[in-house]
Amino acid sequence: MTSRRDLFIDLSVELTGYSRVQLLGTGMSERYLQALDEVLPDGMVDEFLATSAALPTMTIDAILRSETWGPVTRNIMILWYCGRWTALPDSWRAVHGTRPADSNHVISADSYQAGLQWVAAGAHPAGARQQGFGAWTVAPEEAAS
Amino acid sequence: MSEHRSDERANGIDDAQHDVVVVGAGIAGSLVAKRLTQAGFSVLVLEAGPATAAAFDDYSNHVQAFYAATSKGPESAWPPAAGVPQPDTADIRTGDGYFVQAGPLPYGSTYTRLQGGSTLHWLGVSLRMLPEDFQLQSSYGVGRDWPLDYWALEPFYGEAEHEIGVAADVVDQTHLGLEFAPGYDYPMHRIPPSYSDRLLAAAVDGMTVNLGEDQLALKVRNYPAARNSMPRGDYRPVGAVDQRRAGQGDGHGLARDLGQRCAGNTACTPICPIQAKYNAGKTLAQADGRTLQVVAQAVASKIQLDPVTGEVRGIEYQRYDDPASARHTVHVARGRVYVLAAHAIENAKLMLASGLGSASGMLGRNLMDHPSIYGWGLASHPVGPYRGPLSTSGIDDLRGGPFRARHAALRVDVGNDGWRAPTGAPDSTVTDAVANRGLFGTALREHLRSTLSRHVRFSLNVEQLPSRSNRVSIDPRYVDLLGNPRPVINYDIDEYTLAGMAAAKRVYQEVFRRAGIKDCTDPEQGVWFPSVAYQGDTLHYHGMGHFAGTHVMGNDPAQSVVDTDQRCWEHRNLFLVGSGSFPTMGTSNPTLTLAALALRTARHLAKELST
Amino acid sequence: MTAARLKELLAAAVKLELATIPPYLCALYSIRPGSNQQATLVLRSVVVEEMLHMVLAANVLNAIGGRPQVAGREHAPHYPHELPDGVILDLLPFSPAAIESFLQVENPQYLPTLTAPDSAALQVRRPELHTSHAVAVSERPTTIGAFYQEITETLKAVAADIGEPALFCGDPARQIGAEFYYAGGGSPTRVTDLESACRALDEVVDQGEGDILSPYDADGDLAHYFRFQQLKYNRSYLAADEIGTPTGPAMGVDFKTVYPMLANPRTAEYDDPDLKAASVRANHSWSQLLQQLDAAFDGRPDALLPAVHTMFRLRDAMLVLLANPLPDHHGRHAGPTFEWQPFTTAKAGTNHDLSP
Repeated sequence: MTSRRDLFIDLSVELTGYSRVQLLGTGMSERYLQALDEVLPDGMVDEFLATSAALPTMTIDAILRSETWGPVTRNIMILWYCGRWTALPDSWRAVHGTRPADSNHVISADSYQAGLQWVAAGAHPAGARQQGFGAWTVAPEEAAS
Repeated sequence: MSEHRSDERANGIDDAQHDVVVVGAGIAGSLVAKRLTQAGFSVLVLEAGPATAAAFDDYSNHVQAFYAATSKGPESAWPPAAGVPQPDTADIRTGDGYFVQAGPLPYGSTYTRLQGGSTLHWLGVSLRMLPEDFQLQSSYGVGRDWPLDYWALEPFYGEAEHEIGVAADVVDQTHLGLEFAPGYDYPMHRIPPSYSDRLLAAAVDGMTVNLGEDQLALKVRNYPAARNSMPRGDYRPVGAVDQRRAGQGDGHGLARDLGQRCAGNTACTPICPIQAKYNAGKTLAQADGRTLQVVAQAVASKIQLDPVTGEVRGIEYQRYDDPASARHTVHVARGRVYVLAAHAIENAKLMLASGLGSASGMLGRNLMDHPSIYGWGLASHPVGPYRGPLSTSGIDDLRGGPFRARHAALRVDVGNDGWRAPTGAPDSTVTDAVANRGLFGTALREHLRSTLSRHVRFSLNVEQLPSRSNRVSIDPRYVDLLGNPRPVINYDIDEYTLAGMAAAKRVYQEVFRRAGIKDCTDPEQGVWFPSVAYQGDTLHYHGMGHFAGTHVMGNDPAQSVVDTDQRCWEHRNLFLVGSGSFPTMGTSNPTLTLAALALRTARHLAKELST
Repeated sequence: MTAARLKELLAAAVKLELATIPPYLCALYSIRPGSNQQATLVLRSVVVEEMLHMVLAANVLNAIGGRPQVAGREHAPHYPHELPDGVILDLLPFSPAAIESFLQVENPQYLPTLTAPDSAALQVRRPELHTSHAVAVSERPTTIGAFYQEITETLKAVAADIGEPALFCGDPARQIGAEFYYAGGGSPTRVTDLESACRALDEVVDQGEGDILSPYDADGDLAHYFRFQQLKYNRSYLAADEIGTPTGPAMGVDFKTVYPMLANPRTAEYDDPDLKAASVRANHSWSQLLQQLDAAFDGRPDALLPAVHTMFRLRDAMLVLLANPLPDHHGRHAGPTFEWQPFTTAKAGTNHDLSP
């Protein structure tokens, strides 16, 4: 049986364009899954993971078009890239309800540093993961490739 | 530090007599305290805010607060104590923060009321003012002349550069009439320019722009910065401060090794996590502890005068134990000499609240800033932003010249932090890609790789002249939790500066075109900043945190608040130090100049106290 | 007592100091973010001082005309790694076993026969064993303290024999000074004569392993051995404390908030191709770091600057590995393998021109 985390990671690979190793490598997968559990109504995370388990029959495009899953899915991408949760739209809340955790917030000091946006930029999180004196004088790593 | 000494004293019983009482443990107050304790004088420093930046474990908490903050503005790492509110960038839009914004325009700058002051989140650029900046009126017929010329301050510039640890090469800095003492060089080699600086220089150096009738050639130049770099000669870079409180362990030297060189954390503002960038705590830690007493969480609230002599005989202060509470006790600090080093706004506020300094009518007036324009764009190739000190280079050529007779001078700050300041990138870029462009998967990753790596940002800092009507005042209707007045700010931007801002906009557009940078500047889509209409255009401006002019220095007591020693004309034993003393500010950030002035005043005081 | 013997001993000393660094890095980066903050500071402080020791040993070797070598399969350390005092350096996560082994490493008087051989009880996975160059050049078994003592005594003897100028014949331009080494632990001593050589070596022993009878070194800092005791007992030392019984505030040690890295892992054990690739990337960085250090010790001190960038790239690669569980290893996680695996020799050290 595939674990919840594996389902979440499999989906996240499709959403972010980063490999399973890179996503697990952020150290944030459990915490992000927990964040989803805190924000979405009971049972909804598992329902979501079940939906995404239907990939590739069910396409990401279809998920993103879904009024229910689209906003959640976009938020998961922002979660991986920025380490922050974005409050779901009012129209979504009107249908599914609101949890206190559904607010604009950085998940944790660690999630901020784990954001994939810094990797994508060929950079490092501002204020953390320093690169050493003079590292800024050379061409950026990933971005130049 | 004996923060809790006041506990031993009952309310209303006066403190011991000190040689000098300093209000404010920012850069000016710390420099004065260091110099005068080293000269053997006893110095009491009153600091309104908590001393959390002085202990490494507490400093780490500030770093964690920044990581976890939803908004990562300049103040995000430095929340104030309840009774010691401070201006916050987020309040400028709502207008209901610490400042009472009385208009017509919002004043766009902020500062920090903690031990260490605004150096806790300054960028670290340490430019000298130009020789012509000191004679604006006689050279160009605008503004005021300083009562000092460049050469009167030059030795103190050198001293300040060594005190705060500035990295630069003199050979890069001798232009626009700037000269250095023979044989002088900065204590550390320059911070290496960023990859994007080099690309920009290759594209831009030698191009010309027209300001009125002046044609000016541009060159990308390295900025002097108070960040640790390769030392010159015997200079030893000063790293992190770790003054732990008693009973908290001695630190075992664990933090001592941090920050001896800038490591490219790309967070000078709001917080350098390793303290490779100068903060005033470093200077205060170097003061002679045998004659220094620092009392943090002590808010100076009133200056007491001797009715006969007109001299200051004490400073009342409110001491609180719990930063979350307004509960406090009132004490009086006594010294032979009193030095207000609390910030341009706070110095003026304290004087006004004490009913002092009104003779010239200049107190609180001539408030200045550098109203600044952002320009942001996409380079044609990756330039490696979001790495390195937030800024390592700028274009200085428009800081001086005959055009200043017609409009304000300006300085182009070239960012290494992408679109962070003007748009909230990289987060906003991710949100845009996901929400507006519908991207996901490898297309999302590729889009972010391709765009984030090409982000370019300029900040064009524009000179502002002194004006009587730009001022800080107080109003009994507006007080804080401790009952102290909140600053009421009247602020406007005149035609001279507006024309400079319009020129700044034109300049960055020309530079972008020349460098093949696609102009993406769109203030409506970026972070909110105040705006002003000018000649059919809307100019969005941000403050630079460069407060100046509230207790202007001069030779004429009728036209100034302090003399060239920063001594208050009306009260012989009272000194007001800081950028409040500046008659004009030119285009350099004020920190280095105010540090030089503070050192000059400290030298004078050491002499005066000895006699 | 010859200069040749000295070069042999010092070349081994450089490698010995280098070999201590990867085990500390494994412990340091296996700590999950946000936990064990004091332990993180302790490990970081020790790592940077070990780096300084390596630089100091290299400065002494260069001062007598030697050539420190750390790059290449024959010079790079391999793990598990046996030191001349019988201590075995393993790549382990932050754990009681790791702390015990650090205590052994930092005890200059340690010999398995003289102190309790706890290591046997650690049951650390050791698929193979490599011996330090220092083992080969030592009269076995010898304590690290005795190893350095032999170097100092030989220096003095040879200097007396052939004269200081003849012994200290190295090119001063090969010395690494404060402009290029800044990671911490103090500034490196430039070695030009017997006095500076002894000062450099004293700092290695004093700051590093310290005097086992006194917790504080000459700068008033707690010596490494006692920093690790603080972690072992989860209690900080106060100035008045007896040796072995720290009574200060708790250190916040939590061995559970750690990535449980597989002991002494090998890239070949990683089945997932992405994971294998991540390990290879980490080894590329490690090998490039060694090449840059090698260049810095061979007359190009400025190569230390890009070496620092490489070290931080290695850190990023390590963090990715450590956060990845290994499906076939009972909950153990991947980790850095520190295998000699250069990318291409052409790329190393280039593209890092810091000059204006």
